[in-house]
Amino acid sequence: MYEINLMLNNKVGEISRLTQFVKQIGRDLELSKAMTMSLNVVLEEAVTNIIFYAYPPDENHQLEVKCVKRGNYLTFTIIDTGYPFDLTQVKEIDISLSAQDRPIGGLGTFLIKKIMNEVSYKRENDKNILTLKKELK
Amino acid sequence: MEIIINNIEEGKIVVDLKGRLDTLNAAEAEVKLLPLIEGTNLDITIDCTDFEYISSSGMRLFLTLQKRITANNGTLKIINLDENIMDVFEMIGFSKIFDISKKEEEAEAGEE
Repeated sequence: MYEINLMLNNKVGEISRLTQFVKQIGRDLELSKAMTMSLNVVLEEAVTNIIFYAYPPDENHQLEVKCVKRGNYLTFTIIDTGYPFDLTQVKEIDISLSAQDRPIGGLGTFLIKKIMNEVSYKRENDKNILTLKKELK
Repeated sequence: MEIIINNIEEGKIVVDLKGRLDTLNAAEAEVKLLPLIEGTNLDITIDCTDFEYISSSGMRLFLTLQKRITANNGTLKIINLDENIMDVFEMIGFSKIFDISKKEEEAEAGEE
């Protein structure tokens, strides 16, 4: 089993620490460039959502990103104490629309669901717990 | 991230987009790129030869550029895109919206 964790402040500058974290996982597990990049897109989106929207502005909080590899599955758990937010309930975007008709938002959530094999959410002890699972081939 | 703007001729611009376009610098990129596309009938190319990573905030910027350029009868081309980024673009339907060509990795290697 492989396990690595990261604590982040709810500051946008922390995204660079998240990037380093994903790069390290990529190196440790010898993931392909494509896999590392996809995971980076997913985690950046999930963490950015929390940094921007989970707390009132100017409040300092921490969030946690846990990564575990068991067998062929890589599981990320993202935990914050902010407003309840269930990403799995966000309405799907219609990717068949033309550029002119496409809304600007909703891309990130869509990508998370598309890239990961399993996305689940629970609210427990006033915490948002988002679990993202990816099968490694 | 680095953005180099090459004004080729009147109405024709090639932008070299390098490095990572993420949550941290998407706003900065927007400030640099939006003024470029204010005119009508523009011919804009984004050269992604040294472009490594794009987050959803960067993708939103690409979508905004495409919307505005098209609305003003211009064209936007994305060239030399990394294969992995292309895969993500395909996932979100960008490959249908944008005029994209991939980087020719093997061709480059063969020349050396």
